[in-house]
Amino acid sequence: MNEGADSMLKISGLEARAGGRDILKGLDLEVGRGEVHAIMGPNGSGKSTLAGVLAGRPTIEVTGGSVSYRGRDLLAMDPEARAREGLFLAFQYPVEIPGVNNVYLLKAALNALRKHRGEAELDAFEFLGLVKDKMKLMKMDDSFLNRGVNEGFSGGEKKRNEVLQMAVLEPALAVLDETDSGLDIDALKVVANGVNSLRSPERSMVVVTHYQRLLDYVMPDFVHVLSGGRIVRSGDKALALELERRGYDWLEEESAA
Amino acid sequence: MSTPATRMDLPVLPDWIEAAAAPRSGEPGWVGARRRAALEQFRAAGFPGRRDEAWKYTSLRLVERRSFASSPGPVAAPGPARIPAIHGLDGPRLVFVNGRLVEADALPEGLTAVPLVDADARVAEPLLGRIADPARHRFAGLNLACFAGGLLLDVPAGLELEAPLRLVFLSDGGREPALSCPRLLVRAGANSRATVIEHYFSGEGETLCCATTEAALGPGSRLVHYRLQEESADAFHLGVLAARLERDATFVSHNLSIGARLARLDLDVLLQAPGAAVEMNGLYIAGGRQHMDSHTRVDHAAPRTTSDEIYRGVLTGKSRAVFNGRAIVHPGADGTDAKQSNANLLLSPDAEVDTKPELEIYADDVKCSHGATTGQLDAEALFYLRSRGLDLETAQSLLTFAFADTVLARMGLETVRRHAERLVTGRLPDSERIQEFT
Repeated sequence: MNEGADSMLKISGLEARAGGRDILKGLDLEVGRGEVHAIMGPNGSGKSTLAGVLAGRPTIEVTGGSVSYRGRDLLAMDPEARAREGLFLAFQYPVEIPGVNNVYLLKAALNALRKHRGEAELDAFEFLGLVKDKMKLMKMDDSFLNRGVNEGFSGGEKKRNEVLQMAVLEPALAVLDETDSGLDIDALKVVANGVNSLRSPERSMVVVTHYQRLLDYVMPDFVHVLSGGRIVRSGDKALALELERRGYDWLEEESAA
Repeated sequence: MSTPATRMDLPVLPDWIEAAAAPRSGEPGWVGARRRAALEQFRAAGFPGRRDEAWKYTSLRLVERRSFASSPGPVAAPGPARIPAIHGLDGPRLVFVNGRLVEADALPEGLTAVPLVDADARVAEPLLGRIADPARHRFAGLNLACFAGGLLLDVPAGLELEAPLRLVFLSDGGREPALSCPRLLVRAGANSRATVIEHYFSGEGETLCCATTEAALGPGSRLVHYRLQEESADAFHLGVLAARLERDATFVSHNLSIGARLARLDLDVLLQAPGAAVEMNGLYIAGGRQHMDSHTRVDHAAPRTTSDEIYRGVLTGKSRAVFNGRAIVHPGADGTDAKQSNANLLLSPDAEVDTKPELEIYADDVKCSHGATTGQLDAEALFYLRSRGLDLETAQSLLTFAFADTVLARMGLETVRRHAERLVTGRLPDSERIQEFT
């Protein structure tokens, strides 16, 4: 078996700047097909910057290193090309877009993907059938469909809408940026349930989170600690529990030593 | 008794204006007197210049340089192909060419439409030129001096009209630039309900459409007014829409301006009795070298009156827009609620907008809010859409449409809204990419 077939994402020596500051300072990470990786770390460690780099956020400047996604140079691709190649970012702060209908956006997004893959576009009827199934999974009622994208949604509704989009678009690599933040326990369970339903041997996930709470529901294969713009420790689920018990300080002290 | 000023003391008006305002035979004396007064007022004021505060950002040099001929007699009805359809819209239609009524469907029972010059003087005389004051709106004055026929639309008290009435105004030039001065007077009787659509477009050649509409809303009446201006790139448009509201009357104004080389609308609303309410929704889309000017004014002259205004503009190319929104809360107009917002989207570095909210409050216990913004598309929203697989052009086009559609979404008539959306999409960059959204 060649190496490329099992590799979903390979990040080497990644350096990035945002807001006039160096945030990522030589980050290495490798994600295999079907694996779920959790990225944890204190505030300001660069977690969201990493998620942003992967999706192609224009306000982040990559100053060094490389990112290979399914054997291709990810950094050379536009955000829309990344999406069409199966990369999905669940936003930490989903954007409200009044006037753009939620269901139309979903349909346009799905059809952009299908067109890219050379598949027939879905008509309105087929699409609606698909989307309603996924909405049941996310415990969303039909009124969500005809509202503006995230318009007037509560924090929890926005996060559920992100996972709904993910469920409809069925990405090869899903990056979840603090999808658990701001959720009460019931909403967290719904979101985790949605994420778990998407786990498959073909799909990889990078779950960025500050707290290990989400990881009680979405079991990661690997846990990495990001601090000062680099991965300072990697382990399995036990590392997340240790972080919960001891906080992040001991790691920072250790890595500074 | 004062001595009338001699002609020699006064500025000379261009011949085409003198010709358009030439005395008519067969009109009632009071109409003629009002025309003459309006002409003299316009002569004294002249064309506005930069020093006129209300025209500071809008130059009429291009209009002044030209000569516009008025149609001397009756004109032929245009073929149906020349009148843009509004798909699915029911209701009677009246067609005007260069201000003259040329075609009229049968009207619903109770509703009457007669040329202003033939109207019952007891109805028309107290209103004509009294709502759109020529001293405030000099092109309403020019229209008063020059209008041909005009129309009085009388909605009697208590009549509730289901179907909207659509008035189509075609300005048609030819070898020489043409003048068109449509004039409409709407009287909405007490507790009546009506919807009127004014639809402006132009045919061949250069045209100047100097349109004035006055509306008198009786107690408890509701008038919904649509104004769609889609004239050609050779057209000049100087419109005035003035309404006066009695107790508990409601006036809803939708104004879409996408056509003409230069377009100006003065919207002037007087809330003169308690409980009167106005909603003003405006959208202007300008591209190329177009110039769009919206001047709105609301006078809260009585207690518990409300105004709710949202005006938005999208500018591309080297276009320019002006928005001036004035709200005056007069002494004693306690409990006034006045909301105003103006937002502009500049899609080109060469486009320019001047926006100015003016709020004057002389009463107590008043709720007023206003805001004006000018900017580009939201970068985070663009990124969000692209991260879902939409290409940059589609994302830009979609966000632009959504920005504009916020105004159109307030239109109650689905058929007109769809028509307006089609017009807007047709004018936005890369709009073919968002067909499935609209």
